[in-house]
Amino acid sequence: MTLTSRFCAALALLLLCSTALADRIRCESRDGNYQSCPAYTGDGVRLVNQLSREGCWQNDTWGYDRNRIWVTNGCRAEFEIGRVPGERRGDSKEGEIAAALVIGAIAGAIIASHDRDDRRDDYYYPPSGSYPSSGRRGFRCESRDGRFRYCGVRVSRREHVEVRRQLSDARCHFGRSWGIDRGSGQVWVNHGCRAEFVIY
Amino acid sequence: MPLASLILAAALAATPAPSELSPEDAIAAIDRDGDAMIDWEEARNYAIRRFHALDVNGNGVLDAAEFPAGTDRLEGGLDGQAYQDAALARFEAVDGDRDGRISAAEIRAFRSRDPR
Repeated sequence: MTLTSRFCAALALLLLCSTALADRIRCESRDGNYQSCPAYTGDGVRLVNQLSREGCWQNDTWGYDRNRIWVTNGCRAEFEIGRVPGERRGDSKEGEIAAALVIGAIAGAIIASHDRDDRRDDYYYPPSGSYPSSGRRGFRCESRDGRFRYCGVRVSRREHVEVRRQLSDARCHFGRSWGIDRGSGQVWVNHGCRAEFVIY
Repeated sequence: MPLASLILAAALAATPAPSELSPEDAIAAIDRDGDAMIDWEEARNYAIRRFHALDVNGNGVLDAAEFPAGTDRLEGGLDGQAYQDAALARFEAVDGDRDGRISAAEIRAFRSRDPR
């Protein structure tokens, strides 16, 4: 085998390997704006690293179709596309210690020393340094008989609204059955979406 | 102290008594779509909020000083990716039937087989 053919074989192997590995794409909604990121999504998309405290909810504040991933309403994240899941670091010492940290959260026991009110704060903790914690408020808003209505709540561009809890069977889907008027900052619901919202 | 003991000690210190919160109340605190189950979207969003709450200086890493009292610390800190990886591993461990959703019954089962 000549040096050139060896080089080509090595290159081919490298290309084969890189196509087998999943690609990672970062897609970020800045200032709550919609962002679309071109990507081939035929082999599936996984959100592998959420960067924002603002919620990343599939088919609500992030999603994908054939050739793009989109994010909105402050969701910032890294996505893996392709068949092969990335290596997890769950078995390392770092992973073990991290597991000890999150054990309460995911097993449902949450954090030992917090009482119930603390947990609520914990749930919607304001971005550090961005907003005063007193700025966090919740409200309920309901679309009756599938009709559009404003919630009587106005938010500034610096504020962020999320569904705290959906009350209706009808899905509350950002941009479709609830949203924020770009100009006026009024929150609205539609198509039977009933929910508790939170602003922070 | 051997590494295994250190890790066990960290796990013990970080884990509250199982009776602290009923599985139903725990789910209610995280459940967003109101189906009385926790899916990975809900668990990840909870975990990342928790991560940011602990990351007081906002540098995207839990520095050694930001680890909660009574837990083992990593001198090099812990980034959000590692935190989420750990949360996913934990989520899958609790999700006994592997349907991608955690029920109150699965939390009960997890607590009884892993009572640490």
